[in-house]
Amino acid sequence: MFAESASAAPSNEAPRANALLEVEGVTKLFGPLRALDDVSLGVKQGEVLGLVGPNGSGKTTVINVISGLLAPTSGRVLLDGHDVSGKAPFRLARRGINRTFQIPKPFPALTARENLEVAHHGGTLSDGEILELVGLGGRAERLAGELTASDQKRLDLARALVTGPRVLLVDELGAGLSKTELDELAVILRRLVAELGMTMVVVEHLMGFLEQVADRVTVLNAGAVIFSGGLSEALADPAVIKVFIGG
Amino acid sequence: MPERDADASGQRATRARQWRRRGADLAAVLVPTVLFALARTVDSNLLLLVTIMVYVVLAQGVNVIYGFTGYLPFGYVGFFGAGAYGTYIAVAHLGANAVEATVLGGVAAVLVAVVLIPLLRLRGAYFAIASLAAALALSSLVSNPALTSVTNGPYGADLSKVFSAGGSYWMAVVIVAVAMLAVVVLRRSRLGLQLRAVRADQVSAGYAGVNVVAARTGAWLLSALLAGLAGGVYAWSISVFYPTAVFDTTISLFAIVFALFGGVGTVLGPVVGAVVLYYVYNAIGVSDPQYFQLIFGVVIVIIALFLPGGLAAVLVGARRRLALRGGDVR
Ligand SMILES: Nc1ncnc2c1ncn2[C@@H]1O[C@H](COP(=O)(O)OP(=O)(O)O)[C@@H](O)[C@H]1O
Ligand SMILES: [Mg+2]
Repeated sequence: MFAESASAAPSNEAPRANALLEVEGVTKLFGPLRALDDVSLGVKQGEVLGLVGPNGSGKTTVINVISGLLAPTSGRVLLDGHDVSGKAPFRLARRGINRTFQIPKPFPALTARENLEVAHHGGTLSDGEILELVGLGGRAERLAGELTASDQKRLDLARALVTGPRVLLVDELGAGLSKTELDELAVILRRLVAELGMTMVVVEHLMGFLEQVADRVTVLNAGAVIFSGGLSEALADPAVIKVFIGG
Repeated sequence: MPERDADASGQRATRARQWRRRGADLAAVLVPTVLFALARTVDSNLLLLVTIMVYVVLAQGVNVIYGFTGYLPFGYVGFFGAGAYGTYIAVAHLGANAVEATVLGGVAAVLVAVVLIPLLRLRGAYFAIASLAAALALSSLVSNPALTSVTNGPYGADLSKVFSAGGSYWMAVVIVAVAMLAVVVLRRSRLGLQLRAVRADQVSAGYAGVNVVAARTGAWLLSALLAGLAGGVYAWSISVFYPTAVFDTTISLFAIVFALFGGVGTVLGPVVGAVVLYYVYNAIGVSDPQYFQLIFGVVIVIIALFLPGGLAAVLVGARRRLALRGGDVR
C-alpha cells in the first residue's frame, strides 16, 4: 500500500496543459469573505490529487465549485478542455464529474439499492458490483436511513460511482472512521484509479490516508494555494509547516 | 449446497414479493373502478356519483403533485376549469363529440400547465399563492365578455346538445381508472423514485444525475391532465355551467382536504378520503349554516397536528404494530 504513494508525481506547478480537470484562477466570494483567491490546479487522467489545508481554508468550496454546487465569482473550471463552470450538478454528474459529501445525505426512506436505482447510470459497473465494491453488498435491501454513519459514507460513494464519473471529488471521507475502515477505503479508491482509470481530488486531514491514495498534494491556506507537489516535499516545506504548526 | 438453497429460496421470496406487488397494483386500479361501475345499481343519483368520481380523480391529482413533489396547489381548480372550458370549446367550436371533447379538456389543462411551468421555481407558500392567483386570472380571462365568441364569457357554457347522463357516468368511471393507473404506475416508475429522492434531498438527487426541474415538471403535467379530464367529464355531466362554478376555489380546497385526509403518497388514501368526506359533505353540506366548512376546517387542523400521513398512515401503523406483536417484522 505504501508502495503506491512512492509513485508521487513531480512537483510541477498547476495547471498543466494535459490535465483532464483544470481549475483556472478561481475566486469565490461570500459577501466580503474571499473563500477562494485565484486558485489554480490541474489533475491528469488517472491521477489522485490530495487537497489539504486547515479548517476553513476553502477545500470544500473548491469541491463545490468544481462540482457545480457553487458558481465561481471569477475563473473557470475545465473538463477535458471544455469550460464547465457554473453548470448544474446534474449536468456535470452526467458529464463525468461527481463527488461525495463531508456529511453524506442519502435518501433515507429508500433502500441502499434504490438509492442507486434513482441515479443516472453512466458507468460500466452494475449497481450490484458497486455495492460490492464499496462493501455494502450484504446491505442492499436495508433502508439508507438505518445504515451506520460509516455505511452512509460508503453509500454516498456508491451513488457517485453509479453515474460513471471520470473525475471523482472526495470530501473528507475519512472523518469519523476507524483505522481499519480508512484502510479499506484507501484500497477502494486506489482500485478505482487502477481499474477504471478514474481521476480524483481527495480532501483529507489524515496524512496517513493521503500517503496511501494521493499522487500529489495541493495545500490551501485562507483560500490561496501555498504549495503544490509531492506529499513528502509538502511536509518539508517551510510555508506549509508554518500553516499547520505555527498557525 | 446449503448456500445454493438459500439463494434459490431468496429468489423465490423476491419473485413472490413481485407478484404480490403486481396483484396489489392491479387490485388498486380495478377495485375502485368496478365499485364505481356498479354504484349506479345502488344509487340512482348519477350526478352525485359523477361528482364523487370527479373528486376521486382530483384528489389523485393532488396526490401526484403534492404527494410526490411537496407542491401544494391551492390554484388546482384552474386546471379543472381549463378542462371544463376546453371540453366546451371542443364541442362548440371544433365539432368534437363528448368523449373526444373530454379528452381535449385534459389536453387544455396540460397546455395551461405548460404555460405555468415557471411557477415551479417558487417554493412553499409562494407557490401555493401564485397558483391560486393563476387560477383566478384564468377564471377572469374565461369569463371576460370580450371572449364571448370563444367561451361565451360570463353567460356560461352550454353543452346540452351532447348531454348524456349515462355517457358521462361511464366516462367518469374510465377516468377514475386512468387516475388510479397513473398513480400506480408513477409510484412504481423511475420518475416516482426520482421524485421521492428529490423530496428527501434535492442536492443529493442532483448529484445522482436527476434533472430535478424535469422530474417536477412531469408530475405537474400529469396532475394537470387528471384535473383537466375531471373538469371535462364534470362539464359533460352537468351540461350547463358558469365560469364561477368550475373555477370555484372550494374545489381546490376539497381536493386537497380529501387527499390529505386519506393520505398522500398512497394509492388508495385519496379515494377513501374523497368518498368518505364527500358523502359527509353531501349529508350535511346543504344545511344552513354550512356546518361542513366548520367540520372540514377541524379536519384540516387535526390532520396537520396529528396525522401528517392521513388515514392511510393510521392504518399502515396499526398493521405494522399488529405484525410486530405477531413477531413478523415486515
Ligand atoms: N455557502 C457559504 N456561505 C458563506 N460562507 C461560506 C459558505 N461556504 C463556505 N463558507 C466559508 O468559506 C470558508 C471556506 O470554507 P470551506 O470551503 O468549507 O473550508 P474547508 O472545507 O477547507 O474547511 C470558510 O470561512 C467558510 O465559513
Ligand atoms: Mg470542508
